[in-house]
Amino acid sequence: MPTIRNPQPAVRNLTRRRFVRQCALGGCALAAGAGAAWLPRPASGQDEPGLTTLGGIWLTPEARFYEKLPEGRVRCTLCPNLCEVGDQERGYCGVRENRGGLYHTLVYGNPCARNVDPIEKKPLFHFLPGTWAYSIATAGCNVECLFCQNWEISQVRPEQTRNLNLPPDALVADAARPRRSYFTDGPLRARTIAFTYTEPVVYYEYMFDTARAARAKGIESVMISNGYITREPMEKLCDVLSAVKIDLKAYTERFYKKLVHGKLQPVLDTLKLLAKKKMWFEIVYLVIPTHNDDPKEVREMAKWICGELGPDVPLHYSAFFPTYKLRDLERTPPETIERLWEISRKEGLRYVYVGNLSRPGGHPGESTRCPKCDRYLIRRVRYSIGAVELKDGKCPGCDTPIAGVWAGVAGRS
Amino acid sequence: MSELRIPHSPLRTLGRRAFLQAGFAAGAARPALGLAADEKSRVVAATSSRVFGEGNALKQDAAQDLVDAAVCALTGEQSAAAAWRHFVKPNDTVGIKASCLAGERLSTRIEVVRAIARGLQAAEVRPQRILVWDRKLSDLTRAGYPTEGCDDFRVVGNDDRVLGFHPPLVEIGEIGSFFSRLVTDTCSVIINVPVLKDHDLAGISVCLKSFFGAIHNPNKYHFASLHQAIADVNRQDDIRRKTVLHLCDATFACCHGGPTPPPKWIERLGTVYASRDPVALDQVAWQKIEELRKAKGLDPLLGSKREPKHIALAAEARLGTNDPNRIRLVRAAV
Repeated sequence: MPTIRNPQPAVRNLTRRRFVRQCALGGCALAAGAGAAWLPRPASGQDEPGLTTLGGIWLTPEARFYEKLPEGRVRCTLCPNLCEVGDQERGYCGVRENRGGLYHTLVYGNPCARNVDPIEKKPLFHFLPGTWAYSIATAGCNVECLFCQNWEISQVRPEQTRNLNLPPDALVADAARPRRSYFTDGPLRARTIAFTYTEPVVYYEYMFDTARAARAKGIESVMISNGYITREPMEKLCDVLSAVKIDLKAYTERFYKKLVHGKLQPVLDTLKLLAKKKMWFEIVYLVIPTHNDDPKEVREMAKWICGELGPDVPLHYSAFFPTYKLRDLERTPPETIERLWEISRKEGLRYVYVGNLSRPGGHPGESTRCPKCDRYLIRRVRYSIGAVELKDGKCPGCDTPIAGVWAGVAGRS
Repeated sequence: MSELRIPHSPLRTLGRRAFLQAGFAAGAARPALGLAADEKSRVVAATSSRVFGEGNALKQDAAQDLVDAAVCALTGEQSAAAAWRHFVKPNDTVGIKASCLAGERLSTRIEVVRAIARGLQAAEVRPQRILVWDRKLSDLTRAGYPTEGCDDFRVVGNDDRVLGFHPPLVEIGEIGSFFSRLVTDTCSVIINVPVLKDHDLAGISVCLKSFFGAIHNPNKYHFASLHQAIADVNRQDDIRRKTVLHLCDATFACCHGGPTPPPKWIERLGTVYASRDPVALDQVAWQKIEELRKAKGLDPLLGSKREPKHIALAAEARLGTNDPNRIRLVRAAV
């Protein structure tokens, strides 16, 4: 048996037969649109504690990163947009409002989506594999990706979503609560809280206070982000988070300007900061046909990651499907993903993955292999994992250390 | 998140019959503004110094005179009732779009809105079919509009729990937005009643900018492509077809520090502008703001970063004319 230290019991004891059965069950649930445990869904008060209210906004504490300007204006310094906001107006994110010269967050304690997901769904493949992440989001985002998969909550304001009244302490208590699940024999317990689905930077204060309260209760926190944040707030966040996933949406400013309404350089700066702070992080690159699938650009990006961040940073290539304002493109062909996967491995990255390919039985690029002896260490099919064959964070075949957080709290092994 | 839907809840107190009638009335096409080559857009300015009451209040009778004079001059009618019949039918559900972001300091005055509502009633529109709306109910209440107990109209916000926004996403040029159900469903006629004011990003915020209050995500367009987005919002079919009159409340105005200016920038003009052409009215409003800025020694908006380019873009989109030679400014006798 593998020696992973902190998996969920049901996952740890997964036999091949059970693994296949659960994959099939997961596929059925996805196809039927049933409310399976890991399907993202808006916050619902029907089977979970806490009532939802359309447009519910209960707490509006003062924001922590802004400057006061003359005549009641403010400049938000949380993200690189640096919005200058007049009285009664909101920043680009739509969830921060100037009220008489004081800048307030409107999403503190008001999540609009809550779910328990496999940590692999984030995706974080080298962080406590096989565990569950209590995942939340509030309305709003500080960019507008034309291909946003969660645009119905990220591109609206908190008045337009059904929100829970869930301040940090209540959220942590809810996260710690055991749950029923289709996928585990016993009750499901979340090991981490994931700030995800929309852009956690826009609910920074809520995320920060929740992560701090969660750590005191033995629950880790992870941020699933676009990395569009300024240096000071990100540095502070590193004190309370255990892992970060960054969506690197492309490796050109042109793409960021045209399809994201943001800038690339601040994201690269965030990645360098995370590496400097020794925060565990993984990168996802959504491959959009004709927009960011040029092998030359991808090779340059892989070189940059290898050189600036190190070869141990996991890089996930994910397939695009048409949505939101980018509906006139086809899905990303699997061959494109596989080509970029190969290019990145050749450039020296040790852990490169593929995602969203929907290949029956899984794709070899979904599993973790030893970069030295190529032995399979963690087999995956979409969000399900099989055996975790690591021994004290090392390959049992050749004793090569495998970068990641396999037990305990943050810090590269 | 495919299971998430922007909630659908038609106005709570509107009966099924009234709701359907409103929908049919809305469906009846009204001609979009389009000027023949030799035609001019008429903008009426009615001014009275008698309109000011105590503090920020207006005298209701004088406000009524101003509004009546403006619509009569615009339509060429002798009576307000006859003038209003040019714009509405008795079975219309009329949405009066107010601009109340700045609260009591500089919002569409309730006295002006009441005068409009009484004019509509003179044209046989029932008070319960007159809805005063803006992006948020709280904006309206901060500006002094009562949520209950008003005999002349009802007050609703399009960003509150009652109405919401209409899926699907409408994509026009720069924008991709849900539009308020008040615009798409509930109202068959819209009367736009903005304030004459400076805007820190758009240059001015008058008729065209006012309809940012009709979309669910104005925050996404305030920083990039703002001017094009303003023009594009006004290209939306319901806004074009249903907005029959733009009546700018310039009793109080600001030429700097907007859209929520400190008191020192607010001044009393005692004017109401009226036009069917939002572009022409914005062009006139811009010139007025430049005039006020010059008098205060402020730099002109023209040629600055804040030049209100959305006016020209709206003209390019054939929403009206910004050509001074094709705008006839008429001073109405009050």
